[in-house]
Order: sequence, then C-alpha cells, then structure tokens
Amino acid sequence: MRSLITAFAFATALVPAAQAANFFDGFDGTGGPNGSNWEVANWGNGSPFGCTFAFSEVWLTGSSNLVLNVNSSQPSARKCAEVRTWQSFTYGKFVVRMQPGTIAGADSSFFLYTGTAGTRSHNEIDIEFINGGRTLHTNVWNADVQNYQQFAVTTGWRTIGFEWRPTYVRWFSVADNGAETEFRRVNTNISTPMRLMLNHWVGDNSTSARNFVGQYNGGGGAAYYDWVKVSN
Amino acid sequence: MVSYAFAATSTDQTPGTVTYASSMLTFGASLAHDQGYAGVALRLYAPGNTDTSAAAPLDASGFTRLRIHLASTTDGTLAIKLQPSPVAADGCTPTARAVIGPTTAEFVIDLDDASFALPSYCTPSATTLLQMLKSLYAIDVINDATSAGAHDVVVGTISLVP
Repeated sequence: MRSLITAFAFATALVPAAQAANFFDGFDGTGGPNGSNWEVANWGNGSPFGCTFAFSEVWLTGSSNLVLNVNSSQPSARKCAEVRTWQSFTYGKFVVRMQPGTIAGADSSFFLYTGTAGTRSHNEIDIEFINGGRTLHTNVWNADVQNYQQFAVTTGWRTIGFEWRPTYVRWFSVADNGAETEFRRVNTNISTPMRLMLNHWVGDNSTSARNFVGQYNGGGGAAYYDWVKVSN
Repeated sequence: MVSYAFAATSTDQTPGTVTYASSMLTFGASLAHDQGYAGVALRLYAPGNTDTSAAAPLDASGFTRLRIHLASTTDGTLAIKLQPSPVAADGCTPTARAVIGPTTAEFVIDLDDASFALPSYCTPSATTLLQMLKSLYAIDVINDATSAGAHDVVVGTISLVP
C-alpha cells in the first residue's frame, strides 16, 4: 500500500493541479485522514441534512480504513462526517472500495462536486448509497439539471466507480479479479474541475429528505472506505 | 415460469435453453451484432398463476418488499418488472434495476415508487404502483443488454415480505 502511495504521489507532482491526475489514498495509519489530501468538514449544510459535519466523526481505523461516522448520542445535536480533496479533477476514472452505512434515512457517498446548488455553476457526479445501503443512487448534475437512476444493491463491501470524460459519464462495478462491469452511461459534457468528496449523513425528515434518503428513525453508525483511486 | 428473448433484429439473436441448478434458473442468448434493443428474460408467475391457466392475479398490496436472488455471468444490471394481466408488452410497468455480479446475491427491494419506476421511455401511467400490486400477475427478470455477445439472467428464490 505504501509503495503505491509513493508512486501516485510522485505522479501527482508531475501534472498540473486541477487537471486529470493520478491520486490514491489507502487510508493507512491512525488519527485523522492525510491532511495534504483531504479537507475535513466541520460545519452544517442545513436542511435536508439532519446532522452537522464534525472533525470528531472522521478517523482512520489503524487497519487501512477511513471511518465516516454518524453519531446520534445527542439526538438534538447529531454529528456526521464529510471529507473532500483539496485537489480538483477534470476527467478520469474515480474508484472506491467502501462499505456503505446501513442506517435507514442516511446517505453514504463518493462523488465529485463543484459550484452552488440551485445555480448553473452546480455540477456533480454521484455514487450515493441510501435506504439502509440497499439502494444505489447514481446521478449527474450538469448546470444544476440532474439525471439520476437508482439500483437495488446488496449491502457490504464493494468496489465501484465512475469514469468522467468530455462527452459522457459511465458507472461501473469492479469484481475481485479487477474486471469492470458497466451498469450505467449518460451522455453529458461537464468540463468544470470538481473536488472529490465522501460523506455520511442522515436526513432531517423534511419532505425533501424523506423523498431522497427516506425516513430517519434515529441511530448512528459508520461507513467504511478502504481506498480511493483516481486515474486517467 | 416461461422464458423469452427479444431483439431489434431477431435473426441476430440465438436463445439458449433454461437450465436449473442449485435452486437457480438460468437463461441466456447470444447476439450476433449490437442491437438498438434486446433482452433475455425469465417470467415468474405469482402464486396461483401459470403460463397456460386463466389469470388469477395476486393482491400483493399488503407487502412492502420484494426479496429476490439474482446474478448474471455476463452483465452488470438486471431489470425486475412487475407485470399485470395482460402483461405490459411494451415494458411500461413498474420496474426496478439491480446491480448484480456473477455470484448469486439476495436483493431486498422496497415496493415503492422510488424503487419501482416506469422506464423513461414510457408515458406517465395513470396506474399507480399500489394498483399494480393489487393485481400482480408475474415478475419478469430481464437482462436488456444490447451488445454483441452472450447475455444471461440467473434467478433464484423470490418472496414478498410484509
């Protein structure tokens, strides 16, 4: 794992920032995630989020996993977790090995994002696990216009990703032997650099929250991320 | 249970036969060329129904989830269609999609509008999912891959969960 990190770190140094670049994080170690790779959110997004992102809910396990936790010990002040790369990317293949959370009414995710939601600056490419981790929500937002499709999935660890190119986005799953199987493709022309983000949050049971992530009935728990990889 | 296959150019498609092993049904076909549309499917009838008897649709409105075992050795998604009687020949009936792999896995799919939506090519229907569930005739599991080559669908146990 460390040799891979070294290799990718070297490659990253050779390409301009904010363009397609190789990136890898195996989430080795303990404590917080690598601060040179990730910005950790410590703020609230407001509705439909039913929790506030907090430094305390993001950590490395010591066994090569990143935890994004939902902490519901104080129902009036639920905490949740989000990280985003400092680096922006333009095009490439974005792959994650993760175990989505299983809280009803929650969302654990892997996505690219830029701009302000509700304006034409908003672009986004999503992999989001909702409905207790049993539904995969794929979406692409181009100038704030979305094109989504949902799929039934099994819970548990999985390797999954998307490929973003000038004229399309495609989503694929990756088998243990490394074979990719595409399951969705959308023709789209997003070209704005975007930051890669991971988060795990619960809805606030507003109408928009219930319509998307479903009813949240309390409780907390973790989503786990084994590694994240970006390649050309 | 019946199997069926379809393709834009039907002569490009060579269906196989249904096989049964380890509680799983498998059906596949091969496409000689890429197609505009195509598919291989297994139709599993609701209890009390067969492909030859008069339809006796099941009132499934009291169930909240569908539990189904699925796989495909060739492709990454399968469609699950709830069929009324007569069946929606154009495919315009509530449809869920599952991301599957070569190993059989159990999927638990909510029987709601978010999970079972009309395909995008269909015009909005006045028939709600609840109305559909009140007269469930069959469940079709379809591999609608269109690329040249072999495509299959593997289906095991199906059950409805209250």
